[in-house]
Amino acid sequence: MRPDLGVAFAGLRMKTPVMTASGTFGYGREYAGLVNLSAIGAIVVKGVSLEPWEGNRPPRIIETASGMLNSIGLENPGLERFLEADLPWLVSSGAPVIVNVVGRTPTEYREVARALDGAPGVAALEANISCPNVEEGGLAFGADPEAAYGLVAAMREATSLPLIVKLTPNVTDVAGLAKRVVDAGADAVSLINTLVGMAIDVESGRAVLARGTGGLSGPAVKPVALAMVYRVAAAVSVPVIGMGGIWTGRDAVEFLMAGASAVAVGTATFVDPSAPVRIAGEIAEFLARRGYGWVGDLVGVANPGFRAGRPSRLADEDPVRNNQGGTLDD
Amino acid sequence: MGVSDNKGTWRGRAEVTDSRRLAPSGPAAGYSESNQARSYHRLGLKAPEVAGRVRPGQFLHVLCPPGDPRGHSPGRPLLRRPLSVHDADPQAGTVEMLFEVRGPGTAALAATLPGDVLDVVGPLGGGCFPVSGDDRPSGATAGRTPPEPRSLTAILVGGGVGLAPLLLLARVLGTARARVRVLAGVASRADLVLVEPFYALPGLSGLVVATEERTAGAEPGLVADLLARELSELPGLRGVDPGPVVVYACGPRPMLREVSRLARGAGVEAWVSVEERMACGVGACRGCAVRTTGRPPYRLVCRDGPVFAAGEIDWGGAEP
Repeated sequence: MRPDLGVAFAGLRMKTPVMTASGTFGYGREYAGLVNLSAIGAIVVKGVSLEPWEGNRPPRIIETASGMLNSIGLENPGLERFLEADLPWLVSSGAPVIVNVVGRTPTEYREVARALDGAPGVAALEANISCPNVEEGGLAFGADPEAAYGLVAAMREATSLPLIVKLTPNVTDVAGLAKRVVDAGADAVSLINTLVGMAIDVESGRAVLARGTGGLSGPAVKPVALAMVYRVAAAVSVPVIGMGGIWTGRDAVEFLMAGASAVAVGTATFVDPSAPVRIAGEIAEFLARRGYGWVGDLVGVANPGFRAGRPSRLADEDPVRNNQGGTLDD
Repeated sequence: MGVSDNKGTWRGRAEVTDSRRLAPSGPAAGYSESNQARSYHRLGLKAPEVAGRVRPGQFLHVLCPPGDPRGHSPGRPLLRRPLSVHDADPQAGTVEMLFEVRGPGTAALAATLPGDVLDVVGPLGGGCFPVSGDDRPSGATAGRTPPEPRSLTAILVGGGVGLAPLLLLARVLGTARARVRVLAGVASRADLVLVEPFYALPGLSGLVVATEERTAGAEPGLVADLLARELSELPGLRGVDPGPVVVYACGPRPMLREVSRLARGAGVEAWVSVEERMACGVGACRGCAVRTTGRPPYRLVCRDGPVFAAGEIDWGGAEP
């Protein structure tokens, strides 16, 4: 029997538990032709702000041991352009769309959330309060539980869409932070964003990245990410989305077993554009080999303190529709 | 539209047909942090899907061996490496890359043997060296009518391993019956291996070589000096009207900045291929941004370039 990969949680309906990680998949179009977009569980787009943001000075990236540093600075074309061009194209591709929201102030976050609330085809919002590469917004909210609470509460008022909050690992108590954003109304939490890191060019005696430090991603961060998912899944009552260095189906299964209801794939996609689909296939192979009928049965099995939200089977919900009105018949 | 999809891009497995080190002397092929001698490598790939349609200036995004996208371990190269296409043979279905061995990734590529298979994405690069009017991005010629290749004098300026993509450009321009002059600049005698492929190219109108270190058969100095002289001689070139002139350049950033300045001074159209570190190669990550004079200021080397109109690049801040 073919294992069931479909999951429903927090108002999201996904045919596989594998999504793209924001900032690594553009607005989907960049990877059209290199991967079947409609076979991806959900596409989380690059952060969208109220006005266009130009991003940081180059150099913006550097490869490090088993990972990479980035300091993009949330370059994005802004809400208007996203609604006019990027979103309609992506919705027509057939994958559920989750919009990552960024801003400099709570008002900006709220305005973007409000504008997206009625936009056709948006399945959920992900509040990005964890980008380490901008002066205002991002980590400025995400590293302070009270600031995070206020921001999430403001967004909560502005939208009826499922609200995911993406957490930073650059804090001492990620579980306490997660609890505060859930108190403020988050329907799910996703983690981890990148870890602050740095590389220095010893020949020039200067930081490689123009901004000095950046965010570390890739296989190097996976054990850290897994431990944080494990801790958060034992602290909050809402579903957890796990990410950080996932390269294979086995990596993804680790996150599910730690307590994640779904996973996101980021840096791996730069190397293997088909990674979000390949990894879902590898999860299915694992399930078949171990005799699991449904991927949701893995969630939290390695976490004795697990108390987070669980996914339900897609088949249990009727009719099988996602938020853009399309039918999930696969 | 800033965003285009990559539906024309091929991803597949390409067999290595040729893999050889070009440096004539020095330590064995490989990379060491203390090794100051440059090492160049030529890699041939069987990739008919690419060979038939690659444009000069475009690149391939190549996964470093072991080629299994799941293979990773500390210190092993993780991201793909962008390699500009050096030459292409549509009949044979092969493409060639010529690159400098700079780190663990390029060293791993240089260690491949004929028969090995590499995971390749390409051809990538939305901006190539324009050969005909069709290649020019809209607005790039600012009201000027793009010259017909047949009436064109093309001055190709290459610095070091930046000469690599100019070979395919010279071949395509030559086929289009442009008058092709190549100005090549390298650091030292050992780097002359980068110039050798141009001697075998039929129909070049001229090939001048400059070396920073005094070398027999080459002019001392920088390739920009060659371009300055070439441009100063243009108006009265033996009393013959050279017709429209276009400069195409690839090399280190200070060289490109100087080429841009000289071309602007001479009122000549110029195109430059620039380099930035890259992750995705398809415009998704916004990692390979280059600062331009336009709004918004940043464009992407992978999606909008690697070739840009010289006047579009913001050369400020290039000083070390």
